[in-house]
Amino acid sequence: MLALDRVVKNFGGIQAVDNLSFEIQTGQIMALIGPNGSGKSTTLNLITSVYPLTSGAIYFDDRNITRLATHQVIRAGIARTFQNIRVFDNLTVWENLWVASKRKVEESKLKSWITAGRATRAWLDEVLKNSHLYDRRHDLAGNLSLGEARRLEVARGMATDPKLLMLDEPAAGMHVTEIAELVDTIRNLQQQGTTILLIDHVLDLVMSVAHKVVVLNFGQKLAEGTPAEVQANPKVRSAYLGTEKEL
Amino acid sequence: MDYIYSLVTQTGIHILLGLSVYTVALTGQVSFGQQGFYAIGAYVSAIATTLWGVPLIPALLLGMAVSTIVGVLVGFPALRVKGLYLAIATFAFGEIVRNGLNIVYYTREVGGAEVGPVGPEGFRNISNFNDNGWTTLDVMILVVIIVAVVLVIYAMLERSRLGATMRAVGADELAAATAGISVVWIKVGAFAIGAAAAGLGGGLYAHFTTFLSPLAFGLSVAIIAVAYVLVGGLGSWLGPVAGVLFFLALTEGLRFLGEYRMMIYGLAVVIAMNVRPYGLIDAKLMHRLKDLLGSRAQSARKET
Amino acid sequence: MLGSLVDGFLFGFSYALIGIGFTLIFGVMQKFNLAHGPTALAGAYLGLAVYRLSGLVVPSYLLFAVAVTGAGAIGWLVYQVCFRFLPKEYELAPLMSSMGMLILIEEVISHLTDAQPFEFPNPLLYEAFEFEFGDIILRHDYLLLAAMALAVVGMLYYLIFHTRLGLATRAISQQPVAAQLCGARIDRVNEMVFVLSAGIAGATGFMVAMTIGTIIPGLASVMTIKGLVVAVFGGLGSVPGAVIAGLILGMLEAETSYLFNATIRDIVAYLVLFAVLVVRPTGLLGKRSLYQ
Repeated sequence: MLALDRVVKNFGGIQAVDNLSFEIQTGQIMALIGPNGSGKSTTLNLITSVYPLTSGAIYFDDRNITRLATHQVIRAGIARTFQNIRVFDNLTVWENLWVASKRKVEESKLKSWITAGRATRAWLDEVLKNSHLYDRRHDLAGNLSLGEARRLEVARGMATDPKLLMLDEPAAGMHVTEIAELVDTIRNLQQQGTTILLIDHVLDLVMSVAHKVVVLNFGQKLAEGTPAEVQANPKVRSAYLGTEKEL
Repeated sequence: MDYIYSLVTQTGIHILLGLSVYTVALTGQVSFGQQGFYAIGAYVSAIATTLWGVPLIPALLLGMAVSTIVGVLVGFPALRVKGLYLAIATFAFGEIVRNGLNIVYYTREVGGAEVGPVGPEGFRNISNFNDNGWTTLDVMILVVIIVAVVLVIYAMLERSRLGATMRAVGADELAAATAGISVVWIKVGAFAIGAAAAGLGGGLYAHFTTFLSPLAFGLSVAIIAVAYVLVGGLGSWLGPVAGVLFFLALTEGLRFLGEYRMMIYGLAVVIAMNVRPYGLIDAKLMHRLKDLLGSRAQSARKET
Repeated sequence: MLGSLVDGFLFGFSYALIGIGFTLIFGVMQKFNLAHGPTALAGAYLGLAVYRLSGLVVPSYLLFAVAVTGAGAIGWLVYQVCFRFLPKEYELAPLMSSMGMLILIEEVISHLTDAQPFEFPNPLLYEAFEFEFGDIILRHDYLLLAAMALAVVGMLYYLIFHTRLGLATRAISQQPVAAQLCGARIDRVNEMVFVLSAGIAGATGFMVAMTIGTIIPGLASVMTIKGLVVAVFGGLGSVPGAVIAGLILGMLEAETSYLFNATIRDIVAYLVLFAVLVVRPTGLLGKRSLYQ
């Protein structure tokens, strides 16, 4: 579904992403891990065209999306969340989803700019209920707790009806129970047909949920495989933990 | 009574000016150049009625149309500039328009007299209202109707997806783009709508005062237009209305101070910014009001 | 034509000085002080007032000192009411507030003087003179203006790079929170930069009024606008940038005024401003913080 082909990104003198290639199959949950500064968030930003690529190409559903603008990438079917939550503080929960919602085919384009038709309402209500935010739907997003705001970010992404959902460090600042809930959420989304790309540090989360893992270090692909394969890989171990010194 | 009619008319026109700044400000762009669109609307519609014999309403619409086109032309380069820099850039635009008007000489002989804008001397005898026998009351009613219609449109905008989208862009452009919103079109569109509102206000202003001078579209108008919104608040369309009414109350209530009026304006702005930096009606207040009204409606429903 | 270019160059120093005022404040606080122009003018008026009230007796250097300190005091006041107590992250409230002060100061001046123009004295300690270089005439007051500008720039350079206050301003402009943690007191530093900038404004207002010969309240708006153009053009936060931009603007204005007329001159100035903002908002030499 998503393919990166020899993607390179330079910032001035810094090589943030170096010749990165990988693929995600439809219906998979793929995790992108690596130490801080290894280029994970930059990769997400490149996919969503927040930054232009220095070279290389990105394909989605066999379509070259390298040169599309951010909102066009989203409309093509990719959604993402942000590491430092970016919900619209001055809008209600409902409005946050509404502005992101993909227009239902049976409603006219002009009307969809004004009110929410029945189909849209039903769709958004469902997304809200799935994220346990239905009761808070008329509250300002700025008043939500951290956990609720995180759920809103995911919900907003889902409101765009994406084929691929990219989560940027969704577990940051969460404790064990919340992480378990997050794992459930991710599995549910995948079972309902969404492909997922996950970035995180919390290895427990990643290893229990992902089908495939790609490890980055200094912008380069260090290893690729199933969680078990990657965990056993000595190069990965030394990147994360450092090599043992001979005593 | 004539005095009251004039006052209401002026208030209505200023509400349009305030709404113009408000529209653009919703998307996170503060424009100190809306007086430029105001001026364009004024001059174009005045030329249409006085020199070309166009009837009032089409002339107003023409003024609006030209303003809107210029609004789009300004909106695109404005994309590249943010925050304070945008404030300065839009002010520069306003000044370019004002200075440009200083070199507009376009007169024609109509009904035996020479009419039209004469550069810095201005544009006299925009007499459409007089020629057609309108009284001050008639003018007031026209303005009130037009402003009421515009306010209804804005109220609808607040509750619509377009309104929420504009606010989303104003809150966080990157997040908005990530929600599939085309930030470019929303921001330029905001400039276009704001320019239309200002152009309409300008057209009404021109015919109301019957005399236009480039001097009337300078720094003070820029400041007062933005002051309506910053003092009134960005929480909703009520904000600029509150701002206009606030300054109106101030100047009328302190009428006995006469020429010290502008000084009071300045002082009022300074005090208002210190007491309520985010405006009289900001987003939080609006939300609390909506909650109050919403919960009353809910409890009313429960009781029936 | 060359003559007007030279005149423009020299007068450009006054634009540079006002631009420096704006750029200093922006460099330290990332905000605009729109009351800067009126502050400059107020300083000049104070000097004039002392001169007239004393029966035309006070020597010019004392009047100059009055202008500088008077303007400095006004600058202190502007800081208190427009910047000190307002939310630091929200730049529009201070902007609006300083606009309120702009209107207030201009109006007070208009009322006290009945908005009449006054002749501004050119009371000098020496005989008025002119240098002549072939066709080009260099007026003494323009030269004095240029000399003062260079002195101000030199003084600023010394202050910013060789004193603790300067060190504090540079630190704060780069990393306000970290600077505070190291002991820099932001409010005090901002206050002092404000007063300094206002003092320079007073000096500039005085010199400008002196070279023009008349003083009217409308000068405040003119100076504000020129100052903004120069500060942005030169790069906000950069004093050398403001100087270069001021000189260029001075020459550009003189030439367009000579070739066309005053209105075209103003349009050109605004087009330059608009173009710079859209094409290269960082201006000629602007960086994120002072002088880098």
